[in-house]
Amino acid sequence: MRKLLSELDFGLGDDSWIDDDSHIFGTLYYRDIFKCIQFLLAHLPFQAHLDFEPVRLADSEGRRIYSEMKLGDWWWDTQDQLPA
Amino acid sequence: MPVICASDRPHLTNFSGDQHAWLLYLTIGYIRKDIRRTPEKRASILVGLIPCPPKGAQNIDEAWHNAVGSVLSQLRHFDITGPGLKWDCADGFQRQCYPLLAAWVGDYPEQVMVAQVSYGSCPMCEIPKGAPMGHSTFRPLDNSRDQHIYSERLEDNNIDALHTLGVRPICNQFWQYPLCNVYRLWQPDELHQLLLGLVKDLLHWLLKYLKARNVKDQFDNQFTSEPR
Repeated sequence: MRKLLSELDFGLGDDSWIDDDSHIFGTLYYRDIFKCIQFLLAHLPFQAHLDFEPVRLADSEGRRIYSEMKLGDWWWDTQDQLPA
Repeated sequence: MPVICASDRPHLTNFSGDQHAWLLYLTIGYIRKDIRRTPEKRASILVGLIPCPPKGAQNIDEAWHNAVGSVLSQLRHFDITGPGLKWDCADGFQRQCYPLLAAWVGDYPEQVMVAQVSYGSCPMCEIPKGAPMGHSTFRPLDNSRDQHIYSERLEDNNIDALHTLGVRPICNQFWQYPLCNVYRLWQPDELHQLLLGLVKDLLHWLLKYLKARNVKDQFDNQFTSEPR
């Protein structure tokens, strides 16, 4: 299993896997999700494809456009509930 | 910061012998969707391999929730009143990040698993099982508003009251994620909801209607004579 995991891997290293035997149906393999998020955030090939702020967009007739995560209401509503 | 999870139960992930694993992926909503949905760009990271229960096992849902809870525990226990986390971004700046579970990519059976609604119920609204189609508006399920109600009914063992909402009588770990309404994490699932759900129901209804009016044969004839 470990070997398979390292072959699936791209850049986080195969020692990023943690195994946890406390589950009833077998071993749970998992990664530190915050390390994974940091990896994605700082991943240079994505640099031109990142949006850090919510935006409201409308077409020429004033209808809202919802084609990306940043265009939705979730982002605005959630931002309001976090400390500034 | 929107965190997106994706899960799928194993169909062909048969590694060796009887080892099966349920896959859990993670990505972030900062990445634009054309990149996110292209597998070769590798914007989703495999974060968990959840052991599958053997045939006939009990408490499958609970075990699954415990395992996913271990993988995502940092999200669940994240303090949103604190200063957040200073993380480096690809553009060279550091940002204060508050990672929050924002969406779950999965088909209808996965949605049922995450939300712990009764199979066949709506994962978004308070609809009792078997409610007639086309019924007037239902109240949306919302754990950030109603978690105390769900919990109270659980404590009182008032299972019927939960069933009328379509919620299974289980304490759902996803109720505890900060700023997360587990019943709003979804995207439409074309196969299960549209084709197997709506279209199938409509076809049944149409057949019944045609038969009741004794025009089914006529309809069939006209339909088959349509040029393709």
